[in-house]
Amino acid sequence: MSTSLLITILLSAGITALMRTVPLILLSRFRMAPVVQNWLGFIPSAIMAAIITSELVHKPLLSPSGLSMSLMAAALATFCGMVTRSLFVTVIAGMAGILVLKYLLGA
Amino acid sequence: MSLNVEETPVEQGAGAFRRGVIACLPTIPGYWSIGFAAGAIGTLAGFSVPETALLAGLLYTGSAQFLFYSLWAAGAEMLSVALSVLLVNMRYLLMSSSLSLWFRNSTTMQKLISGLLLTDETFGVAAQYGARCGSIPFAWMLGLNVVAWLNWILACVVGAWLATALPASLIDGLGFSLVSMFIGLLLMTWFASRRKALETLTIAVAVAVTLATVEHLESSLVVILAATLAATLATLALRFTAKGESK
Repeated sequence: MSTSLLITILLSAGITALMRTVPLILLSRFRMAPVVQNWLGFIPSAIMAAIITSELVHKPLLSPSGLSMSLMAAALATFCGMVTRSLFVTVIAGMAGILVLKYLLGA
Repeated sequence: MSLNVEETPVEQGAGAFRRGVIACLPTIPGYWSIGFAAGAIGTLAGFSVPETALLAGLLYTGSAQFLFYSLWAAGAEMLSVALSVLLVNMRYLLMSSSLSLWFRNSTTMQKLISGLLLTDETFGVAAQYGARCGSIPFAWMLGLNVVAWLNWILACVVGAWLATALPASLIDGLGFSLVSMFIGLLLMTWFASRRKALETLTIAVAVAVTLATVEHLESSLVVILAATLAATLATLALRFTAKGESK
């Protein structure tokens, strides 16, 4: 492994480590204003909704007729998750949905 | 003792570690599918298996690893690689800030270790636990993080080894587990929330902003922009609706 590659890996990893740890260490030291707490409380739903949407738009698995199998499997996973309220069932339903759709729609 | 039945008491020690490990299980298919791909692409881009393993263990994030391979293979400068990694990983600033709500009782060393191994997936699982229990025990977070980290490194190494022999159909099914896992985590967060109308607003705004900007911006920036706008609007809506109530 070349030295410059090693340094670049360490530099990138160091920057990432700082972004992962500094807010957690600093912000947990004091009680933040309620408005900031509320804002941070909404961040998880917002980030997850944005990741789901951008994944579905960026990497759709399309059937030969142009339907988004990803979107259909996502709908199935959402339905199963709402009924069972189980993370495991939601994950399995989504994966099984994709495999069954690929088989049925012949992609 | 709290009389609220929805509140689970915060656990400590070996029991908490074990429950953290169990909480990690639904995320493992996601780590394996993306890790496989991240390892395989490393080999195809000319990285050795030890180099890919080092990147997986230290950088520990799929999107930045993909970026690293392509920039390095294209002969990019050290600083421009590091700057690109910074941009792609900017969302960790938001995630780390958000998790700080649940780590008030931890020591600095515990916060450091918990934060170092933060990923999209462990963040989703931990944020849901924190919102439900009001605090995240270090042992639980360690169990969640260590299992995720080891699975990621292993998946990257196996992917790097098998780079040329991966069946594409397997990857499609596994790859979708990432989306369905976030759908599950989002649903669990919504069901556990005391502010369902505002959570719905947050989700709707985040989806709308993502759809509006996804064609024009780099995807890591889309996520940051969508999350920031959605959380801000929901907070404003909360302030607006709370004004009428007496304190």
